[in-house]
Amino acid sequence: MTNCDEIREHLEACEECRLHISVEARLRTQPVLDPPKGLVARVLRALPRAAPLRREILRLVAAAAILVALAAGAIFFRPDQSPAYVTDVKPHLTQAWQAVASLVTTLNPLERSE
Amino acid sequence: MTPEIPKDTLSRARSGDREAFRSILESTQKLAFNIAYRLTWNAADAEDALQEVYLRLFRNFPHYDPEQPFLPWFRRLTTNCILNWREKRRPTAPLSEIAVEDGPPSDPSERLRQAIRELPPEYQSCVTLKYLEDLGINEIAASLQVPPGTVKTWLFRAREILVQKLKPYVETLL
Repeated sequence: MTNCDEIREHLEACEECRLHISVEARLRTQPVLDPPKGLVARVLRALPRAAPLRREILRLVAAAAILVALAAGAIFFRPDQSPAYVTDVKPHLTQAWQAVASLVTTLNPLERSE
Repeated sequence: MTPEIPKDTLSRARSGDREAFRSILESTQKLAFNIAYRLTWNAADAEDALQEVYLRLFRNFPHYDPEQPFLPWFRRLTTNCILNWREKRRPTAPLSEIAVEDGPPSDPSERLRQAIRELPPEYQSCVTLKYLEDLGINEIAASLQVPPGTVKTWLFRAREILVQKLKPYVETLL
């Protein structure tokens, strides 16, 4: 008697094992479905417009711009300012604006990818 | 069924590239839809749940570690998100009570689905990943972030529960 014959003989007599095998077979043969048509387009439409990383960078740039604007306001509109004082500060302000501009430049590749 | 996604596409999608995200969506939609279907057993619900899955994927992509394989992370995010979505929409009466009122379904495949629906959520995730993609114990463990021994136990108990629930209908199953 081969192994196959022994298994067949056991299965004929054992309802529990037959049930285990048929449940296993049914689990393995559940149909695999195709996704509905247009799913990709519907999902993409439901996504927020700005990408998460880009949104973070935009926030940082906005915060930096506000800080520079506040600093410029505080320096240029002091009532007791002298022309010499303003001349000293101007190069620093230019540097600050350049820093903001470089942040905006880092953002550009992400904008192109949209 | 199991998609292959280039590393470059993953890294571009991680930095917010929508075209790369679309490519990932196209590659993973069949897998995700079938996971969703086997956790909801309803095509419309599966699609609703998938909207949540991809929204969460889009928001969480910056947290994905590119050094780690993508698919286990994606399977985990998908199963967790669908189970949460289902929990929010859970009917007020337990499924077992509904089944008693409506009577057992006559179709053997529907009986099996009903029995799977009544399994604990972690068993359902395990059974879905095992029989949808024929994943091994270690792959399921990596996807669900549990030890392989736990996966073996969950699968064993899930099969036992299914067999016990389907025992009264043994003649129609064989």
